[in-house]
Amino acid sequence: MRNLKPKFSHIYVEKDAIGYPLTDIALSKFHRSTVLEIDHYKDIFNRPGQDFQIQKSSMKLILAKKKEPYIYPASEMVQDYNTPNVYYNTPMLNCLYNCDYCYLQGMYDSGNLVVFVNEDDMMDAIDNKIANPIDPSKPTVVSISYNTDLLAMENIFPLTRRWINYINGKGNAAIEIRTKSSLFHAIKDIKPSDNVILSWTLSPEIICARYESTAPPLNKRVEALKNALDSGWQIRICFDPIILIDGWFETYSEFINKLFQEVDVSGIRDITLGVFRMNKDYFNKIRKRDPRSDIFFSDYAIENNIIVVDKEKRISAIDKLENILRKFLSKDKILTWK
Amino acid sequence: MTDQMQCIITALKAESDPFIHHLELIRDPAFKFPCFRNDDLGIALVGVGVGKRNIRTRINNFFRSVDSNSIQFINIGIAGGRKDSARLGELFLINKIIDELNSKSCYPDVLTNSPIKENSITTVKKQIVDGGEQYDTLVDMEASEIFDVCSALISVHNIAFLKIVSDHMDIGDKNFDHESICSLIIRRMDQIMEFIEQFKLIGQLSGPILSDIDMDWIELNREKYLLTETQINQLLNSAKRYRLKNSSALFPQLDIKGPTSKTDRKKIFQDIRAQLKA
Repeated sequence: MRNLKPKFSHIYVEKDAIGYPLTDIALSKFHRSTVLEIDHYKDIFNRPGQDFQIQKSSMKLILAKKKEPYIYPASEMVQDYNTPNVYYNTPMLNCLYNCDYCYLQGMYDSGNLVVFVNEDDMMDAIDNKIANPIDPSKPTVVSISYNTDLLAMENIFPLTRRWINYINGKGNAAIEIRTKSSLFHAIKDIKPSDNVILSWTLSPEIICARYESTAPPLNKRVEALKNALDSGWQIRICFDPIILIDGWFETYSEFINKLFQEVDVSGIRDITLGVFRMNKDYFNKIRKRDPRSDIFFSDYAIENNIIVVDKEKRISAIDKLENILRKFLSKDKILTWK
Repeated sequence: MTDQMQCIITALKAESDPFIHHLELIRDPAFKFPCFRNDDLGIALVGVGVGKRNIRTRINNFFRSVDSNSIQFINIGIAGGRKDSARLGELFLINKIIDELNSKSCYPDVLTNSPIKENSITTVKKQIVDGGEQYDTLVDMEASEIFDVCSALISVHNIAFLKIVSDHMDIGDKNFDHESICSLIIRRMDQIMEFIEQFKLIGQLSGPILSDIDMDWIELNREKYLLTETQINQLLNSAKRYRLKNSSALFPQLDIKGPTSKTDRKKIFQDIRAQLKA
């Protein structure tokens, strides 16, 4: 909207974040932005009375120093990765994109973006988990793009690159970088690492247009994924969330069949599959704000404080899609959330 | 109910008068304090006096009286500025407010793409007359309290602060005559009005999905079909879904007789939802 300030017109810099290399990078990239010094990022990010969606239209950047905890156990809403040593961390809070179904709008009061500039502290915390795994026979997996889309910001902050360089060569450990970005070319020069899983969330075009309109279109994501695959990276494809629109089965089956005509499935590490679901408190918080998406006004069940598609319907849906995927991949490569 | 109301908050009569004149505001006798409005323009002005003392009561009183879906507060007034960083008569949009008393800072959202230069402001208890060397910011006596009060009532993106530099913190009360303050405001009137118009659009970005007419339809069905609270909540969700998919279509006209039993009511309710899904 023309009436609004452009993205990152303002940069709020926490006093403790001054002097970090990432702070300097941000300030030099956005040298025309208004810079305001703040005591603590929560003074801006956690203010009461913010409107997530309006702020999304003119996002501000907040640079801060993360305090402990630097790492968290994985949510029960992610697929079982066949290891108990699964964690996530938060190098950034919030995302450049604004997908309708995203739980971040219920998790955070602010639509602004926080970048934590002290990556070393977060990396040390991962080292500690790698050294003390819950199950030493299994790998340690850390999702570093759980509450954000790190690769989407790579042109501004070379965070993905730094995280790949950090994890590379660390034995039985991996980081998952989940994205909808088309910016693979920004890390194309890096040698593929066995310690990195690049995960692209893909949806049929109609879903992209209706619910992911601020993310790159499907063809751009597929192109990035194919480039990564050709370069030898470990690739995960996430069909998650599956949105059960009218005619969903035809939509998704056609989409999957078409996708695997284009993408060499033999190179795919695994696929995750799950229907739309969200923490009940987040869901209710979003719905209260009258979001402009029909997703929040459909009928769901509530299970263990999670808003989710009715059990019978979702198991049937996941089973049907799994059957289609089985034409292309073995069962052990299909990770489902039912 | 009016769609949108903008309320200018001023401290001094000399700050109010130019707006009262320019916007043809009429005194609202319902209030014991200065409150002026022009309902055709959807704009009001509340005078809060100098300092923090009356701000909470007056803004709260005004807010309670407003029958509007959406209200915006804009504090407009004069401020002191340092000689080396602010010219007399210069207009600023405030992006940070520091309360000198408790050292707390607050941050109005700056979303409107206005050409007005930005600055921070410190709210002090007493007028500064010694040149204010210790202040890197503008200085006033109300902004932090106005933000505190207004942000408890409305979303922060609907609160804005515009300040015109009236002095370099080196003069006392005697030099703040009515005429010179009025003229500072009048000289910036076009810019201020342009900002107010732009700011209005921010307020229009959010709003309920269902219109008053839609809500009347819900209420009608609640009464006619004796719907329970749970059913009403479900109906509201279905209605919102329908409205998002059909922005201008009227809700279906229901030609169903009132229920004769709970089972009948349940069936009617399901029929209504089915019609909204169709």
